[in-house]
Amino acid sequence: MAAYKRQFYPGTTTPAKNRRRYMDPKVKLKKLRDVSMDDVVRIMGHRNPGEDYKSIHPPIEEGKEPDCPIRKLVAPIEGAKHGDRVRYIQFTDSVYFAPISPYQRAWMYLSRYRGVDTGTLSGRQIIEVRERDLEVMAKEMIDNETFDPALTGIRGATVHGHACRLDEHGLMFDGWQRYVWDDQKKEVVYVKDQVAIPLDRRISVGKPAAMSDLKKRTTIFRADGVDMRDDKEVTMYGLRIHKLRTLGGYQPWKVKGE
Amino acid sequence: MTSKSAPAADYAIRQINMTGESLPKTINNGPGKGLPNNHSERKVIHVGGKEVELRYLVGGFYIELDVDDEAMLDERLEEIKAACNATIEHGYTLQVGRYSKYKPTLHDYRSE
Amino acid sequence: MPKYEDVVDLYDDCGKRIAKDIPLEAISPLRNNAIKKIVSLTKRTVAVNLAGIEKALKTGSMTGGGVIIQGKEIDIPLVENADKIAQIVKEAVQVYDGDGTSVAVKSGGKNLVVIVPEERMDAGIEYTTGFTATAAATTEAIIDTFDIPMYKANMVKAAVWGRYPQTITFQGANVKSILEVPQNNEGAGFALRNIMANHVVSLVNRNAMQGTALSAIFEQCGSYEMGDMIGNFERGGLLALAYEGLNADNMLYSIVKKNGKTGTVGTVIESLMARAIDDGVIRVKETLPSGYKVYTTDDLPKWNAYAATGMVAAVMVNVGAARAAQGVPGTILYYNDLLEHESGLPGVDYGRAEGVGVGMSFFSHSIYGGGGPGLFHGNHVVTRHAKGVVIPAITAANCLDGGTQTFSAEATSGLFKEVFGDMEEFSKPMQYVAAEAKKVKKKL
Repeated sequence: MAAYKRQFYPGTTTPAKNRRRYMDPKVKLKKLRDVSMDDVVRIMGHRNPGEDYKSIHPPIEEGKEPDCPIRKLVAPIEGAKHGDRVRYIQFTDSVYFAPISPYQRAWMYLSRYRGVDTGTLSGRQIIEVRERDLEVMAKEMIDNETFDPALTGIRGATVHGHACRLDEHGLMFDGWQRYVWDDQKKEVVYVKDQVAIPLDRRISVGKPAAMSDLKKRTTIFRADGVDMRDDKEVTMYGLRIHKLRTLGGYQPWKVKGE
Repeated sequence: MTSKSAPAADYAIRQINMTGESLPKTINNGPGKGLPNNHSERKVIHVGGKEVELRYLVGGFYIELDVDDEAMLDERLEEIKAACNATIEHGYTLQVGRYSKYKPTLHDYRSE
Repeated sequence: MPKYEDVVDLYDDCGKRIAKDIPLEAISPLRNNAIKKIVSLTKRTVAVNLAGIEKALKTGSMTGGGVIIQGKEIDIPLVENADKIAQIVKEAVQVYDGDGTSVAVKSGGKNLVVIVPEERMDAGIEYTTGFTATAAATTEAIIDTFDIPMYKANMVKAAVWGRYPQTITFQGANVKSILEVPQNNEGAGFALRNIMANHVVSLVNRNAMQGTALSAIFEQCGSYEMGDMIGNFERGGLLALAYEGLNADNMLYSIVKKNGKTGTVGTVIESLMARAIDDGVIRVKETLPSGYKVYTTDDLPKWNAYAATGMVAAVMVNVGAARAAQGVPGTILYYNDLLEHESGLPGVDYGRAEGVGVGMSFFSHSIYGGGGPGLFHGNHVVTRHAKGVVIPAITAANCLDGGTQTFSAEATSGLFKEVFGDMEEFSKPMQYVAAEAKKVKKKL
């Protein structure tokens, strides 16, 4: 039998196709900028660049773990091997056509990475991983096309703003103004880390994309963009799952060929 | 926050409340708690000769009008619309209604 | 004649086949005596912490909550005389010689493990009999052996039983049972579901496959007791117990093996879909214009069992990679979400497992209350909704933790590992149940 190939998500419209793109680990996401690893570490605020990683338990040595067959089958990630702390980075995506929306981040993380604890809320999407692996993932997320300087915020607290109108420079609202608009370079610059502690240097994350470009890359269904009801497959999918959950939750043995 | 206009009572504007997303003065939770929040929009503006410190990213105004009849209300609205059209670049919505307490309640009756 | 047509092969925790062509009914708690014995031992096995009693009497610090009762301290060499105490307790607890009562001294006299005879349990209807008989016997044994004067005897009671009955639970007791007091079971049939995941982790010595099996047994027995497994509903629960809990057809082990080194939750879903299609459980119903295939099935309960197995595999792969238990609710949530999007069929327990994932994610992170993943169980308000299928995944995750939790199994349930650690009924349930299933097969 041929190996099964994932199909990810139904739908014919642009947002649906973009969702599939982000979820598919075979698609290499475009790198739009290069924020240095030290700067990523500064923005996250868990340790100073160059500092050693703190650990919360002794390193995991092969052969010294409890006698469990699953431990023998599942390789621990680097951070787990060293006993790193579990740390987080949290993103907020504006509803005004940010490249990606919260729960698609979760789908993307769990399709592309290992050892991930992720949580989605309407105004924020958090990922918690062992520290050294987190830093690698965070840099990828900030460098690639899922991040837009104006519409994606790196926020650890006080996340309000995903559904607010954009300001005069097209930036998403941030109650602690972690990032500002540099009018000369036309770039977005981070002046505070993700928990609003001022940085000792300004970190540029580059120029925001044009709205016309964002509308082609976005994953959000909106009445003033692509309405979800206009994507028949996606709408049908939602109704189907609701129906099957209801029938299955009632008398599952009666559901045949639905 | 409130900013009372200075002119005489017959001008009809009793009070203007400005509101919007909150811009705290100090960071209120997380590792940065207590540090000053130097947000660029947290500035001081001058309204009718008085200084007002903006605590919000202002996007909404509740303008309380004290008018005698419909005609006067319409007149005042025209003036306000003219002022908005001249200054607000990207458009706005203007709705007329009751947004604040305008007569005493039973609670007031009891407590006086 | 067996009730159901379904037949499975049972494999052990290392992927070795230990029972062939077992009819589904043979693993039913109603027919399988190994499961019945596990359940019976859960009621009848009690741990006594003699070192704890000795310290409590000596210092006056007893019944928990920082309480210290001064002026009536008793200094006795309890641990030294463990054998003597054990003998007296045995004679008090047993009904007649050879009735199965057992009192063993552990950890050099610091602990006793008491197994109360079935005769005692059969003479009443509550399951707390194991605890009460042991606690009373221990109290009397201490008072008699050391000639405790009448006016100090109440200290012995408090050191052994805890603050009960002032509290509903046996708060601060030095006698411990796996089960909670009946008053803490919120609803009919929840007794076996009210076992903290950490307790199970301790009982199986952190073996993830055995932990999944033991939790699945407790949960499905709880489902029977709640009235959930009546009539047509029984088959769905038994299929979940077989595939998710007892590694039927080696599905769980082989999916984890395939995805263990480099796999993600996404690749586990690929493996699960491939297996379900190959085994003929699901098939394509229609293909939509975008190329998306909508899958359907004629056996939804079996699909549910497969999906549940995939869920535990996803947890083992993702949480195992991190060796950090905190990721389990997020994994449960998104595994189900991704599986539903992938197949067009409902997720585990028809959406309820995903729902539990949402609630447990919320209540196990940050400032929102709840607790660490080890503290949840089938009776907990947050995790009770998807009966039978979610707690095994949580137990697997807690087994795989590398030491990241404050409320780890060592902290909350260390005593069980110490005292019950060598009871194979608890630590190797998969082998125990499969061996019995072979015998039941012959009778069906």
